[in-house]
Amino acid sequence: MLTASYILFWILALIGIGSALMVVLARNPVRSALFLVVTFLTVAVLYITLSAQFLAAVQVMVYAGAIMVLFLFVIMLLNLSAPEALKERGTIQRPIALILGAMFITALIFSQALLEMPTKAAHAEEIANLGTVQTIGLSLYNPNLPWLFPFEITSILLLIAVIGAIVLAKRKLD
Amino acid sequence: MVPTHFYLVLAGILFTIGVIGVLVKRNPIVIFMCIELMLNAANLTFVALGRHFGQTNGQMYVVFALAVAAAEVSVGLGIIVMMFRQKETIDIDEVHLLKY
Amino acid sequence: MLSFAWLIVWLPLLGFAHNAFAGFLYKNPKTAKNAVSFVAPCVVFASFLMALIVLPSVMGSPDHRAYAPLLPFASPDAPWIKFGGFQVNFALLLDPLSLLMTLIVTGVGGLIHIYATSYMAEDREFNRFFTYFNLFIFMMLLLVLAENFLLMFVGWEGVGTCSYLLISFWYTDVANARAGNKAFIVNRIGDLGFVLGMAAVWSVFGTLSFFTSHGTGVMQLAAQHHDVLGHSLGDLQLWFAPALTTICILLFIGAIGKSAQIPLFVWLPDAMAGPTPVSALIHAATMVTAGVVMLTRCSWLFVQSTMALQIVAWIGLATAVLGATIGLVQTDIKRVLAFSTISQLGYMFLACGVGNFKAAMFHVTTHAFFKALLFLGSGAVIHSMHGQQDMNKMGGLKRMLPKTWMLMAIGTYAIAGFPLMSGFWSKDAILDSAFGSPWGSGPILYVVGLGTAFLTAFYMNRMMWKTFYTEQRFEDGKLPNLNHSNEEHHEEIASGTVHESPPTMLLPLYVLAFLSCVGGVVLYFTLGNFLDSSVAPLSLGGLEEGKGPFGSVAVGYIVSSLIAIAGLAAAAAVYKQRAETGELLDPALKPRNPLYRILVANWGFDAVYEAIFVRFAGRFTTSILWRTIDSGLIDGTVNGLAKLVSGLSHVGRLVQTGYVRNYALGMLVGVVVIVLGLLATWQSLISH
Repeated sequence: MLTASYILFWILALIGIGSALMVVLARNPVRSALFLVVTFLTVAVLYITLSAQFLAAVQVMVYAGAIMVLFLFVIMLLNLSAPEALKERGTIQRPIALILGAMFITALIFSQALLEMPTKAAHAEEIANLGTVQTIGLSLYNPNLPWLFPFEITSILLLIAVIGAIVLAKRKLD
Repeated sequence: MVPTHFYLVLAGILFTIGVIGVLVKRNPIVIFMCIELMLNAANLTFVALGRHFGQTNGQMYVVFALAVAAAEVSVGLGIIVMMFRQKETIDIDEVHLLKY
Repeated sequence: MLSFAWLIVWLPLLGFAHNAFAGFLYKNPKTAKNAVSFVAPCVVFASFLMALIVLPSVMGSPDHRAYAPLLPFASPDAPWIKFGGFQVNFALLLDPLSLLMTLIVTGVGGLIHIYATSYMAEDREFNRFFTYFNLFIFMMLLLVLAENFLLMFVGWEGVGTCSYLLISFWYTDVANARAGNKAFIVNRIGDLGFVLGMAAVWSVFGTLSFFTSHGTGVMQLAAQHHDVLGHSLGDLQLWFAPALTTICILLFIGAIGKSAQIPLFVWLPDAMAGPTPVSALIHAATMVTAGVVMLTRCSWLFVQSTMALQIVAWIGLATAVLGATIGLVQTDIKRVLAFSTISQLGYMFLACGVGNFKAAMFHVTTHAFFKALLFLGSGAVIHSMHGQQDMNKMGGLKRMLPKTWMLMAIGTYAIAGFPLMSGFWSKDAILDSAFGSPWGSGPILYVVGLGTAFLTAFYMNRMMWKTFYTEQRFEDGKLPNLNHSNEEHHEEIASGTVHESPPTMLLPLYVLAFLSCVGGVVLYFTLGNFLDSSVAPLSLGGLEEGKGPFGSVAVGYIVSSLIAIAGLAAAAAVYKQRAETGELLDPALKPRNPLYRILVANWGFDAVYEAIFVRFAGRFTTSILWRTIDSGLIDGTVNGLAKLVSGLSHVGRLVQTGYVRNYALGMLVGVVVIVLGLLATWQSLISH
């Protein structure tokens, strides 16, 4: 199990989990945002190992490039850099969340084991081209496949989002 | 090649961390960020399984999920901005009027 | 003509409707009152005429029995209730018995209506009175003319209701309302027996009609010993006779309630709380005789059950004695008459019990005449005395109220059995057949009956003496107004003097007095043949009428005449000596005289009932049935369930904290449960 791909995977996994934990544990929201960027980049590299090259690029562009910038803008706008002063009262929220999270993870892991997924080692060349721009393009714009229509509709979705965002954030005219 | 279930377990762990973050954090922006983390974990699952079965379907789902996530973020942040313009503090526990 | 027989019953009902809505129909209240006082007696007399018109057709029908529909222009077979094998029709049975009772009810009732228009003239609720009065006539006619048990029961209950309404007519006084309640409730106890008897009749015979033109009425079937479908009714001794006895006893329980026999007589004395015309009509002439009528109607059943006949006779005799003895100590003029009614009803049941139903009906008729006369006369006295009913405060009224005195005297002699008056003929017929009782004990029945006749004469003449002959025990010109609160004042009351009653009140009394004198003789020779087809022959039950006392009829009559005269004379002698006080016993000694105290307390019946049913049952129902079971258990369960739900929801609503994170936690819990569930059942899911 010490081949290069495995080692790469372990490293990436550790970095990903670590940064994800830091997202949750960091006091300063700006720090949380930055750690989230690290997580996104890790996931992008994982996509590459999964032969989803196009998606990796898109992930970096959209998530790390656009969405996180948006987050940071809002954080700056609302002046949230001050750490939360209030300590949570003695609720059961935190312990129960942790317990349930542990149960959930255990369930997920053991479901994988139950599923007994065979480690399919398909031909490398077939797999390698699975996520290239060409392949994605052929799937996306293929009229025989069901992806064309949602693709067109997504443009309207984005339009709606833009309108929604503008309407929501607008101040009332005096 | 790395077996598929490794990726699935990793995605599961990321997802759980995201869930715990949603439940424990009190800053609404951070909660939203944890939601994005969960979305990413789901995308990872899609891609891994897509490669497992040798189809592009997994990645197609992710394309659209990505687009939707972008839209969602913009609207969601708009809501948060609007909601917390009224109040001075940024604490999701302040929004509790819909109670018994 | 028979197809118009329904008019007999419907005319009083129309009178009821007219009187009830007189306030709407006429603008002027005075006009309304005049209209009511005209319409109310008119419809009753119209029914009387209708009955007379129908009489020839009935006597010309086969078996002297005719059937007419109750609904106008319908067929006598028009069904009222029909389901399964059960059917009763809206039909009237016109035979001598029902026509006799119709004539009595409408004739005497009509006279009482005329009297009442004058007696109740100052009452504020005049219209309401005649509404109830006409309704009563309707119900009573329904009772006597019914073709089947169920329709008779409608009339039975109806007269009970009207009795209640009329007894508590002056309801603003709670005592009157209580008296009405008592009458109705005690009646209802008897009605239970009637209903059970009806059910028994139906289960044995399969029909509820008395007679039908096809020979399938209960009485006809009882004579032939098979039921309506033609099946024979089984072994006579083993099954049929006990069944008949049960039926008869149950029906008799109904009669006990309605006709105030032991032990259900307690309502009748209290019923005197009603206006005097009510007492005259309902509690003397008509309603209380409904039991006798019912027994006579069912004579085919009774003659075949010797045990039932014996029970009827002994209870009748005991009631006669009870009524007479208690009547000896009464001071209220109406209560004397009430107990005398109870006593006379006992005589009627005695007659039924020895199988001579014709004698019972004869006495019903003559009793209607003289008892109505007595009650109306006492009403005239009360009216003249401005509402005073206590005989101890009367006296010397003979010279002040000569006409009233004469009429009351005629009534008293009639009831005492003075020779040749109506009571003499009917009471003698009863006593004679009592001696010849077909099931034995004749002499005892005769002797006790004769003794009671002596007491009857005694206490009736006592009443006459206390009221009319003894010294005046009041101050004329200063009479207090004891009339009831409904009445408006008129000058004569304000003057406080004794005055004779108006002619409208006295005219019916003259008619009744005439009938009391002459009616007996006439009916003696005609009623027997008239009622032949309406009464079962004793031979049906294998019984035979015994011989009268002293072998000869004439001697028997002479003996009872002597007893009657002796009673009258004894009372005269006793009270002549005490002309000043008018009392036999010294008032101071009364509370210590045990005989007196028992008699005044109605032989203790009221006290026993009060203790058991009112106090004990009252406490039982209140503490156990009401508080423990109803309030505690049932209400507690229902309310407890509500409280449980409320409590649970109080706890449940705490989930809605308002915090977003708590809701998210809830969602996570759900997700974990689902995932775990899937994991647990995965193997079975994928195997499909």
